[in-house]
Amino acid sequence: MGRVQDKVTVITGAASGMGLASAELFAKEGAIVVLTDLNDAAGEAAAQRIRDAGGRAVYKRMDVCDETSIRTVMEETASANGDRIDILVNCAGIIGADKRTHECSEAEWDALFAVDVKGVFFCSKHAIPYMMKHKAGSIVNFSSIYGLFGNHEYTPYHIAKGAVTMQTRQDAAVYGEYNIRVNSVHPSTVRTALVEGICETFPGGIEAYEKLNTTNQSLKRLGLPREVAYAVLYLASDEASWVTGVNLPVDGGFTAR
Amino acid sequence: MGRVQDKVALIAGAASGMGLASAELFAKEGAIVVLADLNDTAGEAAAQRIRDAGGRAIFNRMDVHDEASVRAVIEEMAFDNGDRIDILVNCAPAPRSLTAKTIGEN
Repeated sequence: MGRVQDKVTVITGAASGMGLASAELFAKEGAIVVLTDLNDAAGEAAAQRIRDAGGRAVYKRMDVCDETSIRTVMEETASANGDRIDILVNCAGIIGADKRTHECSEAEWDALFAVDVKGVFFCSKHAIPYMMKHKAGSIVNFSSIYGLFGNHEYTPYHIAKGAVTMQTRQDAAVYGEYNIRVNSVHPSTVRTALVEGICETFPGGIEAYEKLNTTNQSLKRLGLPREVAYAVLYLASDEASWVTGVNLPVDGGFTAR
Repeated sequence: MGRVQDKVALIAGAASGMGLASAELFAKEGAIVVLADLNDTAGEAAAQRIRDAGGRAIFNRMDVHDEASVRAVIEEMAFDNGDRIDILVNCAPAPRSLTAKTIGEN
């Protein structure tokens, strides 16, 4: 009996990084996982690997900027699984331009918000009605430590992740009466393929990057995708049945200092 | 393989409530649990129930207001478990004489 046994779970941004780690972990813990992404090759391969390992998973192409695409995937998922969507993990996100407010163009702002803010909004919007029907559901949103605190860089990303922080609390407040729980995870820097790619050209490589990025953490190392996935699993599962509206840092102690 | 398999866990306030629930869950998930409390009867009974269910647990009387008592329990626990304490759960509540209200007044 897995920790999310038989839960119908939609995960966005599931072809790589923390979304992929979550998909693998949820499948291992008994969930029926729908991996969604724009990277078809990686998404299909990931779903196949999960099935080969005995898990239940399918890949569906979904663009979180496109409401029609999202509604279609949610409808197909529910239709194939007894009209249910039990868990939604909103992981898809981009970091956008490293600019300050007075430097950021409307196009840069809109492109980032289309993914990081509207993506979470649209996916939640079209999954929640299925959860309301069954008076049960759990949504886990990926925000960031940048959605909790300000600093000197990536201003639009901070603001977007701040919106996700508040969508989490607001949806938790609104949908509690339907037994729908909404929580968020707030990672600091995690060693994803994206970060490893950055490190290939970073002076001093991964060691220097890790040192720079963990200066203000208690645990002086980058996180691993599975360390975030375990937090997502807990919040999504019935183990967290009395937990809603929580913005959980998973950050090596960054926010404690 | 439990989720806290073979972890040596000290739980303060483990004879009842959330401390007890934690002790039972940790033992089910493979931990070696020391239940600490002032309530000997309930604590011993809880540890026995856990052992009867196949878990690993002992009860030790401990007064969290008394540093010597705490140190003695921790030293004994580490001695019994290869000099290890892997997990500490500080669950012991304030006694009735030290409620938030009276602490605030003081």
